Amino acid sequence: MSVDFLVAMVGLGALYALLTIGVALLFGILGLMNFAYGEIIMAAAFAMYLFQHSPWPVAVAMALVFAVVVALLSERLAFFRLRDADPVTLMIASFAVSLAVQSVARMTVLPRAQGVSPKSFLTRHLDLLGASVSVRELLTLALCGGALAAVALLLGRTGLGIQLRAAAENFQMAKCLGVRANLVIPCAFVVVGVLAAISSIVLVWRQGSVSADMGLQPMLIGVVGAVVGGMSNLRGAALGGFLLGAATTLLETVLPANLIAFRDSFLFTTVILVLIVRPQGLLSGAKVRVS
Amino acid sequence: MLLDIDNAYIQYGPSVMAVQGASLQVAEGELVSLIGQNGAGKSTLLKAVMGVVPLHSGAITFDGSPTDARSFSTVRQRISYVPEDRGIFTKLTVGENLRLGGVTRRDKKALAADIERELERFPVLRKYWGKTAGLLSGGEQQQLAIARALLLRPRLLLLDEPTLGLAPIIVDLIFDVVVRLREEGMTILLVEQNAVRALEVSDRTYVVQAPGRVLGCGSAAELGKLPAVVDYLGFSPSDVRGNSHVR
Amino acid sequence: MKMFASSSRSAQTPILLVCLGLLTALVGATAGLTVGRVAMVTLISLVFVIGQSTFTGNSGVMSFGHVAFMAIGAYTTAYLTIPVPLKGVLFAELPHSLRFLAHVHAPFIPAVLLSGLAALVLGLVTAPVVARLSGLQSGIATLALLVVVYNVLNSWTAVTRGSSSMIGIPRNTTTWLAFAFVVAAVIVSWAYKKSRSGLQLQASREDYWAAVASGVAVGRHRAVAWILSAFLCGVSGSLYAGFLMSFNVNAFFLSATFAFTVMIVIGGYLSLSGAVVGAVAVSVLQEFLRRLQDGEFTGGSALPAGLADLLLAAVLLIVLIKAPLGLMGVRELRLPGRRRSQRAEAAKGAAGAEGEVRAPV
Repeated sequence: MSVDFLVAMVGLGALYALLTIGVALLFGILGLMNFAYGEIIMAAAFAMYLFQHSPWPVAVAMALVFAVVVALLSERLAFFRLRDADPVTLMIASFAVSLAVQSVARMTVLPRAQGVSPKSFLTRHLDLLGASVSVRELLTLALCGGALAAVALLLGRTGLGIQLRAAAENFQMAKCLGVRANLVIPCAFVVVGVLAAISSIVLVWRQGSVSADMGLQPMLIGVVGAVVGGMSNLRGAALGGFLLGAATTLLETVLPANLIAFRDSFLFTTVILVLIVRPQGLLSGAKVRVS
Repeated sequence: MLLDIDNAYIQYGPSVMAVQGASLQVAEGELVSLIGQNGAGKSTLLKAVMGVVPLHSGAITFDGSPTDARSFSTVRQRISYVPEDRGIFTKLTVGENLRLGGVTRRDKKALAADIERELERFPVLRKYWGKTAGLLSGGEQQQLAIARALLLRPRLLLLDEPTLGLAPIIVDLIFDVVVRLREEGMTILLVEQNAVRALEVSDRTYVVQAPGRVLGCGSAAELGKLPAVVDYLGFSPSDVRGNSHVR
Repeated sequence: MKMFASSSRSAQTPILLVCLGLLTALVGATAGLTVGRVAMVTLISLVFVIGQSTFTGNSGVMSFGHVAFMAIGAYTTAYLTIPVPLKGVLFAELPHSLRFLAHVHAPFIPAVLLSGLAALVLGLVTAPVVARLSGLQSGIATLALLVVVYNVLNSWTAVTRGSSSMIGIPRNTTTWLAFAFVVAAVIVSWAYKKSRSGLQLQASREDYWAAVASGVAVGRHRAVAWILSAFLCGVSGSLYAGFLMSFNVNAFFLSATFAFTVMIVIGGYLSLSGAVVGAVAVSVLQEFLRRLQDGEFTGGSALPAGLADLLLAAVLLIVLIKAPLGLMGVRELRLPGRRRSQRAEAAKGAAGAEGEVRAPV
């Protein structure tokens, strides 16, 4: 296997893992299968488009701000009021949020898809171990890998991370111990906003365009990865997303050209099968003792 | 009175009034237990104190302030609760579970000392410090739950069936800890299926009958004089060697 | 006598629902072109939501995949009714094994029924999935079904024309024909609801494990309701194709799913009346919002496109927050009866509202 292929595969895997974590985090904490996640990504991409002629740190900063604001607003206006609702109601509500954010985008700047001219440094190639690797792929890998490491650190090492995980597992008990729900849940949405912004930056770099419905594909990837990896287990979800990305890269080189168009059918049939055979996810090692 | 439950009615689920007119008091430094059959409404009473289930009517006051007031916070009032299912975070490590017990405390040094003290009290927790809590046995999880509850430095400790389903040797250990805490001056409200053991260790015992009605209260000897209680329990509490630790 | 009274009472709801459909059809038949079009789409939506409600209402399991059945119905009708010579042009590259599709033809009514049957076959294939899943997992699985069907329709260009529109379908759906299918759908759905299987399925909706413990084969009844609802949704897709004369695969994806979900949730997804009332109410609301967006109430200046969707989403969110069970809850439409029966109803309604109405999760 050549180095550039390996970088591309691991990079896409990391990107998909990031998308999956964004979906799985809120599912774990609130039981919310968030179909509006794609719109948070779209909001960040929207900022990238608006500020494409500013220096890139400004564009990146604005992408972060837009995504976090949309994430927090969706919590405040919709999900906050549905905290005790069952997961299906939440899922329908997230559909509504998704449509609302999309319509706002359509009403303002994005009735049609818009191009975002790629930064010149992205199209360059570097010589790495004798192979020519595109800077874009390398940056994808670096950014997504970095974000994943940061999430792992945040959740694993910090007080906030422990509280988030505790709230994810047993919300009631966490509240009894003094974990402040009204602080922890918005924090989770902020984390999701940041993750969405990072994935969005990478996505815009890769596809060079922005549109109101661009969030659909990444959101579906996040959902599939989370279902396959085990929805209430973040490590499993990340691994599920990673394998999905790696498998996609592999499929695209291995599958005959006339079957590539049916990739989504393969993926979602897998989802259905996983739900039937192993509803707790393929990769979640359910080794928890009950009594 | 530290805790005062006055004529409480508590609805459980959509249509069941699980507690109908319960009244009970716990004074500072007391070990009070609630005994009675399954479904008598004992656990529901603890949940109502914690605000986990809402009070339908009546009043619950802690240290003079009503617990259903908006501004009331069980954490700020330092009420600790060990639920029947122990409420352990099974995916977190033992250490992380313990740290969550003091999550609201700002005095980090004192908290570290308190954690050290609980590890002395429950050596098994030190042994499994970095292990995922879900892998502990039931008895070990119960010890973790109690240790975690103590890290709030509670003024009132609510224990819901701490010995349910545990091996006899662990049951002894848990009761030892409860008695020791009582001696240290802790105020404890204990819900217990094992009526005999509860009567043995408690200052006062409330006998509760479904739906949440108090049949009688007092020491083992006092309860023995109430025919309704003897009839309900099927034995006379005065036969139990009560309050052994007090004297 | 008593039996007669009770049977006339139980027929009350379907009669009221049919009357609501009749009202829509009358409006459509007498009003102008625009309103007539709205009324027609409403009638077709009614067939769809009645179909979906046959499953979701009785089982309490939400589905986001029923639009897939509608798509199958529409494509089947296209194949069966597009004139054969035109088909030769449209589907020049059919794979050899499917060449016969270019020559089949059927009159419209049989085509509608065959479209329903085609959807029913997909229902049969997927029934084992829904039989086993509940709550969120079922929601995701049904959505996955929708994505798979959409992906196949969108990518299998030689057979489905992919993302190009399907054109040349003769216009066969009339207002009264659509109304006739609404009546049929109400009868089928109501009959199922009152059938043995329907009642057992509703028992499982109230308490899954209690029903299982009482020997109810929940999976089997879910499968029956699923297949029945697939058929009805296939019929609605066929009517849709016969009305629009051309359609695109994008008509059968998330935005349609969202629109129908709004109807069913706002009306109340546990009741057949809820689905019907929701479909009519949301159709009226959508038309109102469309006119608002086109500037009809703001002196002719059009408001930005997307406003109608935004307001619809807001309405849905408010309903979810304020009344998660929708306008109807678990109730069905009834005429206000005489005082005694009314009071009995009220007591029953209150008991229903107090508990047992939550869907299994």
